[in-house]
Amino acid sequence: MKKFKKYIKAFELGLQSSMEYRANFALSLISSIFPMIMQIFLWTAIFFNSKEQEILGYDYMQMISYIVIASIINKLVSTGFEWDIAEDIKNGGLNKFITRPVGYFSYRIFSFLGSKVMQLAVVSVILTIILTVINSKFSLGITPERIALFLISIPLALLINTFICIISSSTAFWMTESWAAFIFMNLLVQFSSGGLFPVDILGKGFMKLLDFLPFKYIVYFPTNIINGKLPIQEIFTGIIMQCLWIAIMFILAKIFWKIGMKKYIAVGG
Amino acid sequence: MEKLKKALKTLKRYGFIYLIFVKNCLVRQMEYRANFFLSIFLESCFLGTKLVYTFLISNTNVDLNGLPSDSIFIFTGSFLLMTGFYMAFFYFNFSNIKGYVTDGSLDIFITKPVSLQFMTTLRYVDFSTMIPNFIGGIIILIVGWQKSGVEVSFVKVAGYIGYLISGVVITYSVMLAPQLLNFIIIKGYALGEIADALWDSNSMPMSIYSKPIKIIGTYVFPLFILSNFSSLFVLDKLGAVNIIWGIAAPVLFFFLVRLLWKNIIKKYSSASS
Repeated sequence: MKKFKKYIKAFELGLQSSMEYRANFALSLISSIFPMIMQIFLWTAIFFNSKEQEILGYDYMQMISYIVIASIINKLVSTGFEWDIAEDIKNGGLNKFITRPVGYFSYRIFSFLGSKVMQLAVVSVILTIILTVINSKFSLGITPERIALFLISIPLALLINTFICIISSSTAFWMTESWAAFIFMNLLVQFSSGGLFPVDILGKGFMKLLDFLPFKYIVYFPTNIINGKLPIQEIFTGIIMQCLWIAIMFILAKIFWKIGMKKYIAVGG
Repeated sequence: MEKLKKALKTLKRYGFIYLIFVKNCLVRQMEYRANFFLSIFLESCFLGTKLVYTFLISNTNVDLNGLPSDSIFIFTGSFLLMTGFYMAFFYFNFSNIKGYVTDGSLDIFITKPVSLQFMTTLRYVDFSTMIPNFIGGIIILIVGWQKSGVEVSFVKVAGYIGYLISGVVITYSVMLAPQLLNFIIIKGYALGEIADALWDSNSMPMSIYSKPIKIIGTYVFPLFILSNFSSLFVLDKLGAVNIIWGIAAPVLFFFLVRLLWKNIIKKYSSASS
Protein backbone atom coordinates (compact mmCIF):
# COMPACT_ATOMS: atom_id res chain seq x y z
CA MET A 1 0.00 0.00 0.00
CA LYS A 2 2.90 2.33 0.84
CA LYS A 3 4.32 1.66 -2.60
CA PHE A 4 0.98 2.66 -4.06
CA LYS A 5 0.80 5.97 -2.17
CA LYS A 6 3.01 7.89 -4.60
CA TYR A 7 0.74 6.96 -7.49
CA ILE A 8 -2.31 8.13 -5.56
CA LYS A 9 -0.46 11.45 -5.19
CA ALA A 10 0.10 11.48 -8.98
CA PHE A 11 -3.64 10.82 -9.38
CA GLU A 12 -4.45 13.75 -7.07
CA LEU A 13 -2.05 16.04 -8.94
CA GLY A 14 -3.75 15.15 -12.22
CA LEU A 15 -7.14 15.88 -10.70
CA GLN A 16 -5.98 19.23 -9.29
CA SER A 17 -4.53 20.23 -12.64
CA SER A 18 -7.79 19.47 -14.45
CA MET A 19 -9.78 21.47 -11.87
CA GLU A 20 -7.53 24.46 -12.44
CA TYR A 21 -8.53 24.88 -16.09
CA ARG A 22 -12.30 24.65 -15.77
CA ALA A 23 -13.05 27.10 -18.59
CA ASN A 24 -10.86 25.06 -20.91
CA PHE A 25 -12.72 21.92 -19.92
CA ALA A 26 -16.13 23.52 -20.53
CA LEU A 27 -15.04 24.84 -23.93
CA SER A 28 -13.62 21.45 -24.84
CA LEU A 29 -17.01 19.86 -24.10
CA ILE A 30 -18.76 22.46 -26.24
CA SER A 31 -16.39 21.79 -29.13
CA SER A 32 -17.42 18.13 -29.23
CA ILE A 33 -21.07 19.11 -29.71
CA PHE A 34 -20.58 20.76 -33.13
CA PRO A 35 -19.57 17.65 -35.14
CA MET A 36 -22.41 15.73 -33.48
CA ILE A 37 -24.97 18.37 -34.47
CA MET A 38 -23.69 18.40 -38.05
CA GLN A 39 -23.99 14.61 -38.31
CA ILE A 40 -27.50 14.60 -36.83
CA PHE A 41 -28.69 17.18 -39.36
CA LEU A 42 -26.94 15.39 -42.22
CA TRP A 43 -28.46 11.96 -41.52
CA THR A 44 -31.85 13.50 -40.73
CA ALA A 45 -31.78 15.16 -44.17
CA ILE A 46 -30.75 11.88 -45.83
CA PHE A 47 -33.42 9.77 -44.10
CA PHE A 48 -36.07 12.47 -44.53
CA ASN A 49 -35.49 12.61 -48.31
CA SER A 50 -35.10 8.86 -48.81
CA LYS A 51 -37.86 6.39 -49.65
CA GLU A 52 -35.92 3.62 -47.91
CA GLN A 53 -36.39 2.90 -44.20
CA GLU A 54 -32.84 1.60 -43.93
CA ILE A 55 -29.68 3.20 -45.33
CA LEU A 56 -26.27 1.47 -45.21
CA GLY A 57 -27.68 -1.06 -42.74
CA TYR A 58 -29.04 1.48 -40.25
CA ASP A 59 -32.53 2.85 -39.72
CA TYR A 60 -33.01 6.47 -38.62
CA MET A 61 -33.31 5.67 -34.91
CA GLN A 62 -30.18 3.51 -34.90
CA MET A 63 -28.12 6.04 -36.86
CA ILE A 64 -29.02 9.04 -34.70
CA SER A 65 -28.58 7.16 -31.43
CA TYR A 66 -25.23 5.84 -32.70
CA ILE A 67 -24.00 9.35 -33.57
CA VAL A 68 -25.03 10.83 -30.23
CA ILE A 69 -23.74 7.99 -28.04
CA ALA A 70 -20.51 7.54 -30.04
CA SER A 71 -19.70 11.27 -29.79
CA ILE A 72 -19.97 11.11 -26.01
CA ILE A 73 -18.03 7.85 -25.68
CA ASN A 74 -15.37 9.33 -27.94
CA LYS A 75 -14.93 12.13 -25.42
CA LEU A 76 -15.10 9.71 -22.51
CA VAL A 77 -12.24 7.51 -23.73
CA SER A 78 -10.06 10.22 -25.26
CA THR A 79 -6.42 10.36 -24.16
CA GLY A 80 -3.84 12.76 -25.63
CA PHE A 81 -0.95 12.60 -23.15
CA GLU A 82 1.46 11.28 -25.79
CA TRP A 83 2.65 14.86 -26.32
CA ASP A 84 3.67 15.10 -22.63
CA ILE A 85 5.58 11.81 -22.79
CA ALA A 86 7.33 12.89 -26.00
CA GLU A 87 8.28 16.17 -24.32
CA ASP A 88 9.76 14.22 -21.37
CA ILE A 89 11.77 12.02 -23.74
CA LYS A 90 12.94 14.93 -25.88
CA ASN A 91 13.88 17.33 -23.10
CA GLY A 92 15.19 14.87 -20.53
CA GLY A 93 12.16 14.96 -18.24
CA LEU A 94 12.52 11.18 -17.90
CA ASN A 95 15.81 11.58 -16.01
CA LYS A 96 14.14 12.18 -12.67
CA PHE A 97 12.15 8.99 -13.04
CA ILE A 98 15.27 6.94 -13.73
CA THR A 99 16.90 8.08 -10.52
CA ARG A 100 13.75 7.96 -8.32
CA PRO A 101 11.74 4.95 -7.17
CA VAL A 102 8.78 5.91 -9.35
CA GLY A 103 7.68 3.93 -12.39
CA TYR A 104 7.18 6.34 -15.28
CA PHE A 105 4.44 4.20 -16.85
CA SER A 106 2.42 4.01 -13.67
CA TYR A 107 3.01 7.68 -12.86
CA ARG A 108 1.71 8.76 -16.27
CA ILE A 109 -1.32 6.47 -16.19
CA PHE A 110 -2.35 7.55 -12.68
CA SER A 111 -1.77 11.21 -13.44
CA PHE A 112 -3.85 10.85 -16.64
CA LEU A 113 -6.67 9.03 -14.83
CA GLY A 114 -6.69 11.78 -12.20
CA SER A 115 -7.00 14.45 -14.87
CA LYS A 116 -9.82 12.44 -16.40
CA VAL A 117 -11.98 12.11 -13.27
CA MET A 118 -13.83 15.41 -13.59
CA GLN A 119 -14.40 14.81 -17.31
CA LEU A 120 -15.63 11.27 -16.63
CA ALA A 121 -18.06 12.52 -13.99
CA VAL A 122 -19.52 15.34 -16.08
CA VAL A 123 -19.67 13.34 -19.32
CA SER A 124 -21.24 10.36 -17.53
CA VAL A 125 -24.05 12.57 -16.21
CA ILE A 126 -24.61 13.99 -19.71
CA LEU A 127 -24.57 10.47 -21.18
CA THR A 128 -27.11 9.23 -18.62
CA ILE A 129 -29.49 12.10 -19.40
CA ILE A 130 -29.11 11.61 -23.15
CA LEU A 131 -29.59 7.85 -22.92
CA THR A 132 -32.75 8.33 -20.87
CA VAL A 133 -34.13 10.76 -23.45
CA ILE A 134 -33.14 8.61 -26.44
CA ASN A 135 -34.49 5.48 -24.78
CA SER A 136 -37.87 7.07 -24.13
CA LYS A 137 -38.05 8.62 -27.62
CA PHE A 138 -36.66 5.80 -29.76
CA SER A 139 -37.32 2.80 -27.44
CA LEU A 140 -33.76 1.50 -27.61
CA GLY A 141 -34.65 -1.31 -25.23
CA ILE A 142 -31.85 -0.58 -22.77
CA THR A 143 -31.87 -3.38 -20.20
CA PRO A 144 -29.97 -3.50 -16.86
CA GLU A 145 -27.89 -6.31 -18.39
CA ARG A 146 -26.80 -4.06 -21.28
CA ILE A 147 -26.05 -1.16 -18.91
CA ALA A 148 -23.83 -3.44 -16.81
CA LEU A 149 -21.95 -4.72 -19.87
CA PHE A 150 -21.62 -1.17 -21.19
CA LEU A 151 -20.16 -0.03 -17.87
CA ILE A 152 -17.60 -2.86 -18.06
CA SER A 153 -16.67 -2.06 -21.67
CA ILE A 154 -16.00 1.67 -21.11
CA PRO A 155 -12.98 1.37 -18.75
CA LEU A 156 -11.62 -1.39 -20.99
CA ALA A 157 -11.96 0.89 -24.04
CA LEU A 158 -10.19 3.65 -22.11
CA LEU A 159 -7.35 1.26 -21.26
CA ILE A 160 -6.95 0.18 -24.91
CA ASN A 161 -6.76 3.83 -25.94
CA THR A 162 -4.29 4.57 -23.12
CA PHE A 163 -1.93 1.82 -24.27
CA ILE A 164 -2.22 2.95 -27.90
CA CYS A 165 -1.25 6.39 -26.66
CA ILE A 166 1.78 5.00 -24.77
CA ILE A 167 2.90 2.90 -27.75
CA SER A 168 2.67 5.83 -30.15
CA SER A 169 4.47 8.09 -27.66
CA SER A 170 7.43 5.69 -27.60
CA THR A 171 8.20 6.75 -31.19
CA ALA A 172 9.73 9.83 -29.53
CA PHE A 173 12.73 7.64 -28.59
CA TRP A 174 13.59 7.28 -32.27
CA MET A 175 12.29 10.56 -33.70
CA THR A 176 13.16 13.99 -32.35
CA GLU A 177 9.94 15.37 -33.83
CA SER A 178 7.28 12.72 -33.39
CA TRP A 179 4.27 14.97 -34.08
CA ALA A 180 3.53 13.29 -37.40
CA ALA A 181 3.29 9.85 -35.77
CA PHE A 182 0.88 11.21 -33.15
CA ILE A 183 -1.36 12.98 -35.63
CA PHE A 184 -1.41 9.93 -37.91
CA MET A 185 -2.22 7.62 -35.00
CA ASN A 186 -4.99 9.94 -33.77
CA LEU A 187 -6.53 10.06 -37.22
CA LEU A 188 -6.30 6.28 -37.57
CA VAL A 189 -7.91 5.73 -34.16
CA GLN A 190 -10.64 8.32 -34.83
CA PHE A 191 -11.50 6.84 -38.20
CA SER A 192 -11.28 3.14 -37.33
CA SER A 193 -12.78 3.29 -33.84
CA GLY A 194 -16.15 4.45 -35.11
CA GLY A 195 -15.86 7.83 -33.44
CA LEU A 196 -16.77 9.65 -36.66
CA PHE A 197 -19.47 7.29 -37.98
CA PRO A 198 -20.40 3.60 -37.60
CA VAL A 199 -17.53 1.76 -39.26
CA ASP A 200 -19.72 -1.06 -40.55
CA ILE A 201 -21.24 1.28 -43.15
CA LEU A 202 -17.90 1.02 -44.95
CA GLY A 203 -18.66 -2.59 -45.85
CA LYS A 204 -17.87 -6.14 -44.78
CA GLY A 205 -14.33 -6.06 -46.19
CA PHE A 206 -13.36 -3.14 -43.97
CA MET A 207 -14.99 -4.80 -40.95
CA LYS A 208 -12.99 -7.96 -41.60
CA LEU A 209 -9.82 -5.87 -41.58
CA LEU A 210 -10.89 -4.23 -38.31
CA ASP A 211 -11.38 -7.66 -36.73
CA PHE A 212 -7.59 -7.97 -36.62
CA LEU A 213 -7.11 -4.55 -35.00
CA PRO A 214 -8.03 -3.12 -31.57
CA PHE A 215 -9.63 0.11 -32.79
CA LYS A 216 -13.29 -0.90 -33.14
CA TYR A 217 -13.34 -1.88 -29.44
CA ILE A 218 -12.78 1.75 -28.43
CA VAL A 219 -16.03 3.44 -29.59
CA TYR A 220 -17.95 1.24 -32.04
CA PHE A 221 -18.24 -1.71 -29.66
CA PRO A 222 -19.41 0.11 -26.46
CA THR A 223 -21.83 2.22 -28.53
CA ASN A 224 -23.46 -0.83 -30.11
CA ILE A 225 -23.79 -2.51 -26.70
CA ILE A 226 -25.99 0.27 -25.37
CA ASN A 227 -27.95 1.04 -28.54
CA GLY A 228 -29.00 -2.59 -28.78
CA LYS A 229 -27.40 -3.40 -32.13
CA LEU A 230 -25.19 -6.20 -30.77
CA PRO A 231 -26.65 -9.51 -29.53
CA ILE A 232 -25.69 -10.43 -25.93
CA GLN A 233 -23.47 -13.34 -27.00
CA GLU A 234 -21.41 -11.05 -29.26
CA ILE A 235 -21.03 -8.59 -26.39
CA PHE A 236 -19.41 -11.25 -24.20
CA THR A 237 -17.05 -12.19 -27.03
CA GLY A 238 -16.30 -8.50 -27.54
CA ILE A 239 -15.43 -7.95 -23.88
CA ILE A 240 -13.06 -10.94 -23.98
CA MET A 241 -11.49 -9.40 -27.11
CA GLN A 242 -11.12 -6.07 -25.28
CA CYS A 243 -9.24 -7.84 -22.43
CA LEU A 244 -7.09 -9.68 -24.94
CA TRP A 245 -6.20 -6.47 -26.73
CA ILE A 246 -5.34 -4.78 -23.42
CA ALA A 247 -2.92 -7.63 -22.65
CA ILE A 248 -1.37 -7.44 -26.13
CA MET A 249 -1.06 -3.65 -26.02
CA PHE A 250 0.40 -3.75 -22.51
CA ILE A 251 3.09 -6.23 -23.60
CA LEU A 252 3.79 -4.22 -26.77
CA ALA A 253 4.03 -0.98 -24.76
CA LYS A 254 6.48 -2.63 -22.34
CA ILE A 255 8.62 -3.98 -25.22
CA PHE A 256 8.69 -0.66 -27.10
CA TRP A 257 9.46 1.22 -23.91
CA LYS A 258 12.28 -1.19 -22.97
CA ILE A 259 13.91 -0.92 -26.39
CA GLY A 260 13.35 2.84 -26.39
CA MET A 261 14.96 3.31 -22.99
CA LYS A 262 18.15 1.75 -24.36
CA LYS A 263 18.19 4.51 -26.99
CA TYR A 264 17.44 7.24 -24.45
CA ILE A 265 20.38 9.59 -24.03
CA ALA A 266 18.94 12.00 -21.44
CA VAL A 267 19.27 15.12 -23.59
CA GLY A 268 18.70 18.33 -21.68
CA GLY A 269 18.86 16.67 -18.30
CA MET B 1 -5.88 62.16 -54.38
CA GLU B 2 -3.05 62.53 -51.90
CA LYS B 3 -4.76 60.09 -49.56
CA LEU B 4 -5.20 57.54 -52.34
CA LYS B 5 -1.52 57.84 -53.25
CA LYS B 6 -0.57 57.26 -49.61
CA ALA B 7 -2.89 54.27 -49.33
CA LEU B 8 -1.43 52.74 -52.50
CA LYS B 9 2.09 53.28 -51.18
CA THR B 10 1.18 51.56 -47.91
CA LEU B 11 -0.44 48.70 -49.80
CA LYS B 12 2.69 48.31 -51.92
CA ARG B 13 4.88 48.29 -48.80
CA TYR B 14 2.78 45.64 -47.09
CA GLY B 15 2.66 43.60 -50.30
CA PHE B 16 6.45 43.69 -50.39
CA ILE B 17 6.72 42.65 -46.72
CA TYR B 18 4.22 39.84 -47.29
CA LEU B 19 6.27 38.53 -50.20
CA ILE B 20 9.29 38.41 -47.89
CA PHE B 21 7.22 36.45 -45.35
CA VAL B 22 6.22 33.99 -48.09
CA LYS B 23 9.80 33.64 -49.30
CA ASN B 24 11.13 33.06 -45.78
CA CYS B 25 8.46 30.43 -45.08
CA LEU B 26 9.22 28.61 -48.32
CA VAL B 27 12.96 28.62 -47.59
CA ARG B 28 12.36 27.36 -44.05
CA GLN B 29 10.04 24.57 -45.18
CA MET B 30 12.46 23.47 -47.89
CA GLU B 31 15.20 23.29 -45.29
CA TYR B 32 13.20 20.65 -43.34
CA ARG B 33 12.09 18.65 -46.35
CA ALA B 34 11.25 15.47 -44.38
CA ASN B 35 8.84 17.48 -42.23
CA PHE B 36 7.40 19.08 -45.35
CA PHE B 37 6.63 15.77 -47.05
CA LEU B 38 5.34 14.22 -43.81
CA SER B 39 2.94 17.12 -43.48
CA ILE B 40 1.75 16.61 -47.08
CA PHE B 41 1.23 12.91 -46.30
CA LEU B 42 -0.78 13.65 -43.15
CA GLU B 43 -2.94 16.27 -44.82
CA SER B 44 -3.62 13.76 -47.62
CA CYS B 45 -4.78 11.27 -44.98
CA PHE B 46 -7.21 13.85 -43.54
CA LEU B 47 -8.39 14.58 -47.07
CA GLY B 48 -8.88 10.84 -47.64
CA THR B 49 -11.19 10.48 -44.63
CA LYS B 50 -13.27 13.45 -45.82
CA LEU B 51 -13.56 11.91 -49.28
CA VAL B 52 -14.64 8.53 -47.88
CA TYR B 53 -17.54 10.28 -46.18
CA THR B 54 -18.40 12.26 -49.33
CA PHE B 55 -18.53 9.09 -51.44
CA LEU B 56 -20.66 7.36 -48.80
CA ILE B 57 -23.22 10.16 -48.86
CA SER B 58 -23.17 10.38 -52.64
CA ASN B 59 -23.73 6.60 -52.89
CA THR B 60 -26.99 6.88 -50.95
CA ASN B 61 -28.40 8.65 -54.07
CA VAL B 62 -30.60 10.79 -51.84
CA ASP B 63 -31.23 14.51 -52.37
CA LEU B 64 -30.09 16.73 -49.49
CA ASN B 65 -33.12 18.98 -48.93
CA GLY B 66 -33.37 20.09 -52.56
CA LEU B 67 -29.77 19.49 -53.59
CA PRO B 68 -29.02 16.48 -55.83
CA SER B 69 -26.72 13.87 -54.23
CA ASP B 70 -23.97 14.48 -56.84
CA SER B 71 -23.79 18.15 -55.85
CA ILE B 72 -22.10 17.02 -52.61
CA PHE B 73 -18.88 16.84 -54.68
CA ILE B 74 -19.10 20.57 -55.49
CA PHE B 75 -19.53 21.36 -51.79
CA THR B 76 -16.67 19.04 -50.78
CA GLY B 77 -14.42 20.45 -53.52
CA SER B 78 -15.13 24.01 -52.39
CA PHE B 79 -14.62 23.05 -48.75
CA LEU B 80 -11.25 21.46 -49.57
CA LEU B 81 -10.16 24.54 -51.53
CA MET B 82 -11.11 26.78 -48.63
CA THR B 83 -9.36 24.42 -46.21
CA GLY B 84 -6.27 24.83 -48.40
CA PHE B 85 -6.48 28.61 -48.08
CA TYR B 86 -7.22 28.46 -44.35
CA MET B 87 -4.40 26.04 -43.54
CA ALA B 88 -1.90 27.82 -45.76
CA PHE B 89 -2.47 31.42 -44.78
CA PHE B 90 -4.29 31.60 -41.45
CA TYR B 91 -4.44 28.42 -39.36
CA PHE B 92 -0.89 28.38 -38.01
CA ASN B 93 -0.85 32.15 -37.52
CA PHE B 94 -4.06 32.04 -35.49
CA SER B 95 -2.94 29.01 -33.47
CA ASN B 96 0.30 30.78 -32.59
CA ILE B 97 -1.47 33.75 -30.99
CA LYS B 98 -1.80 31.88 -27.68
CA GLY B 99 1.97 31.30 -27.67
CA TYR B 100 2.73 34.95 -28.49
CA VAL B 101 0.66 36.05 -25.49
CA THR B 102 2.09 33.53 -23.01
CA ASP B 103 5.77 33.72 -24.01
CA GLY B 104 5.88 37.48 -24.54
CA SER B 105 6.65 37.44 -28.29
CA LEU B 106 3.77 39.82 -28.79
CA ASP B 107 5.72 42.49 -26.89
CA ILE B 108 8.45 42.31 -29.51
CA PHE B 109 5.94 42.50 -32.38
CA ILE B 110 4.47 45.67 -30.86
CA THR B 111 7.82 47.40 -31.28
CA LYS B 112 8.03 46.61 -35.03
CA PRO B 113 7.19 49.39 -37.49
CA VAL B 114 4.38 47.43 -39.16
CA SER B 115 0.77 46.77 -38.22
CA LEU B 116 0.63 44.43 -35.22
CA GLN B 117 -2.38 42.61 -36.62
CA PHE B 118 -0.62 42.11 -39.97
CA MET B 119 2.52 40.81 -38.28
CA THR B 120 0.68 38.49 -35.90
CA THR B 121 -1.97 37.05 -38.16
CA LEU B 122 -0.26 36.79 -41.55
CA ARG B 123 3.37 36.06 -40.76
CA TYR B 124 3.42 32.35 -41.65
CA VAL B 125 2.44 30.61 -44.87
CA ASP B 126 2.31 26.83 -44.91
CA PHE B 127 2.69 25.19 -48.30
CA SER B 128 2.59 21.57 -47.21
CA THR B 129 -1.05 21.64 -46.06
CA MET B 130 -2.10 23.78 -49.00
CA ILE B 131 -0.85 21.45 -51.77
CA PRO B 132 -3.00 18.32 -51.10
CA ASN B 133 -6.12 20.36 -50.34
CA PHE B 134 -5.77 22.42 -53.52
CA ILE B 135 -5.10 19.39 -55.74
CA GLY B 136 -7.85 17.30 -54.11
CA GLY B 137 -10.27 20.24 -54.05
CA ILE B 138 -9.85 21.09 -57.72
CA ILE B 139 -10.24 17.44 -58.82
CA ILE B 140 -13.36 16.88 -56.70
CA LEU B 141 -14.79 20.22 -57.83
CA ILE B 142 -14.38 19.28 -61.51
CA VAL B 143 -15.97 15.86 -60.86
CA GLY B 144 -18.88 17.50 -59.02
CA TRP B 145 -19.30 20.18 -61.69
CA GLN B 146 -19.53 17.52 -64.43
CA LYS B 147 -21.72 15.10 -62.44
CA SER B 148 -24.17 17.86 -61.57
CA GLY B 149 -24.35 18.96 -65.21
CA VAL B 150 -23.51 22.59 -64.45
CA GLU B 151 -22.62 24.60 -67.59
CA VAL B 152 -19.12 26.08 -67.76
CA SER B 153 -19.70 29.75 -68.53
CA PHE B 154 -17.78 32.94 -67.78
CA VAL B 155 -20.44 34.11 -65.29
CA LYS B 156 -20.40 30.82 -63.36
CA VAL B 157 -16.61 30.57 -63.17
CA ALA B 158 -16.11 34.27 -62.34
CA GLY B 159 -18.92 34.16 -59.77
CA TYR B 160 -17.48 31.03 -58.21
CA ILE B 161 -14.00 32.57 -57.92
CA GLY B 162 -15.54 35.81 -56.59
CA TYR B 163 -17.38 33.97 -53.80
CA LEU B 164 -14.25 31.96 -53.02
CA ILE B 165 -12.35 35.22 -52.49
CA SER B 166 -15.24 36.48 -50.37
CA GLY B 167 -14.94 33.21 -48.42
CA VAL B 168 -11.22 33.78 -47.82
CA VAL B 169 -11.87 37.24 -46.31
CA ILE B 170 -14.71 35.84 -44.17
CA THR B 171 -12.44 32.97 -43.09
CA TYR B 172 -9.89 35.46 -41.84
CA SER B 173 -12.48 37.46 -39.90
CA VAL B 174 -14.64 34.67 -38.53
CA MET B 175 -11.84 32.28 -37.59
CA LEU B 176 -9.68 34.98 -36.01
CA ALA B 177 -12.44 36.19 -33.66
CA PRO B 178 -12.57 33.07 -31.38
CA GLN B 179 -8.76 32.96 -31.19
CA LEU B 180 -8.73 36.46 -29.73
CA LEU B 181 -10.19 34.94 -26.57
CA ASN B 182 -6.65 33.68 -25.99
CA PHE B 183 -5.91 37.15 -24.67
CA ILE B 184 -8.39 36.42 -21.85
CA ILE B 185 -8.08 32.64 -21.39
CA ILE B 186 -4.33 32.20 -21.22
CA LYS B 187 -4.05 28.42 -20.79
CA GLY B 188 -5.71 25.59 -22.64
CA TYR B 189 -6.26 24.00 -25.99
CA ALA B 190 -10.06 24.07 -26.19
CA LEU B 191 -10.30 27.27 -28.24
CA GLY B 192 -8.40 25.54 -31.00
CA GLU B 193 -10.78 22.58 -30.74
CA ILE B 194 -13.78 24.90 -31.05
CA ALA B 195 -12.28 26.65 -34.07
CA ASP B 196 -11.64 23.27 -35.74
CA ALA B 197 -15.17 22.06 -34.96
CA LEU B 198 -16.68 25.26 -36.33
CA TRP B 199 -14.61 24.93 -39.48
CA ASP B 200 -15.72 21.32 -40.07
CA SER B 201 -19.39 22.21 -39.59
CA ASN B 202 -19.12 23.95 -42.96
CA SER B 203 -18.04 20.79 -44.76
CA MET B 204 -21.63 19.88 -45.65
CA PRO B 205 -24.28 21.85 -47.61
CA MET B 206 -26.04 24.37 -45.37
CA SER B 207 -29.37 23.03 -46.66
CA ILE B 208 -29.14 20.16 -44.15
CA TYR B 209 -29.46 22.53 -41.18
CA SER B 210 -32.62 23.92 -39.60
CA LYS B 211 -33.77 27.47 -40.37
CA PRO B 212 -32.43 29.12 -37.17
CA ILE B 213 -28.98 27.55 -37.68
CA LYS B 214 -28.99 28.66 -41.33
CA ILE B 215 -29.81 32.23 -40.28
CA ILE B 216 -27.14 32.30 -37.56
CA GLY B 217 -24.55 30.64 -39.83
CA THR B 218 -25.25 33.05 -42.67
CA TYR B 219 -25.91 36.41 -41.03
CA VAL B 220 -24.69 36.37 -37.41
CA PHE B 221 -21.56 34.20 -37.49
CA PRO B 222 -21.32 33.74 -41.26
CA LEU B 223 -19.54 30.40 -41.45
CA PHE B 224 -21.67 29.23 -44.36
CA ILE B 225 -20.31 31.93 -46.64
CA LEU B 226 -16.91 30.19 -46.54
CA SER B 227 -17.60 27.38 -48.96
CA ASN B 228 -21.36 27.14 -49.28
CA PHE B 229 -21.98 30.40 -51.15
CA SER B 230 -19.60 29.63 -54.03
CA SER B 231 -21.16 26.16 -54.46
CA LEU B 232 -24.73 27.45 -54.20
CA PHE B 233 -23.95 30.14 -56.78
CA VAL B 234 -22.91 27.65 -59.46
CA LEU B 235 -25.95 25.51 -58.66
CA ASP B 236 -28.25 28.58 -59.05
CA LYS B 237 -29.49 28.14 -55.47
CA LEU B 238 -27.98 31.18 -53.80
CA GLY B 239 -30.90 33.63 -54.06
CA ALA B 240 -30.85 37.42 -54.62
CA VAL B 241 -30.44 38.44 -50.96
CA ASN B 242 -27.51 36.12 -50.40
CA ILE B 243 -25.84 37.17 -53.66
CA ILE B 244 -25.60 40.69 -52.22
CA TRP B 245 -24.86 39.48 -48.66
CA GLY B 246 -21.95 37.38 -49.99
CA ILE B 247 -20.34 40.59 -51.28
CA ALA B 248 -21.16 42.85 -48.31
CA ALA B 249 -20.43 40.42 -45.45
CA PRO B 250 -16.64 40.14 -45.98
CA VAL B 251 -16.25 43.93 -45.81
CA LEU B 252 -18.47 44.20 -42.74
CA PHE B 253 -16.90 41.32 -40.82
CA PHE B 254 -13.35 42.34 -41.69
CA PHE B 255 -14.15 45.76 -40.27
CA LEU B 256 -15.68 44.16 -37.13
CA VAL B 257 -12.72 41.88 -36.44
CA ARG B 258 -10.40 44.84 -36.91
CA LEU B 259 -12.37 46.74 -34.25
CA LEU B 260 -12.29 43.72 -31.95
CA TRP B 261 -8.53 43.37 -32.41
CA LYS B 262 -7.93 47.04 -31.61
CA ASN B 263 -10.05 46.80 -28.46
CA ILE B 264 -8.33 43.65 -27.23
CA ILE B 265 -4.86 45.06 -27.87
CA LYS B 266 -5.76 48.21 -25.92
CA LYS B 267 -6.47 46.00 -22.88
CA TYR B 268 -3.43 43.77 -23.37
CA SER B 269 -0.88 43.86 -20.59
CA SER B 270 2.39 42.01 -20.94
CA ALA B 271 2.73 39.22 -18.40
CA SER B 272 5.97 37.48 -19.18
CA SER B 273 8.65 40.05 -19.85
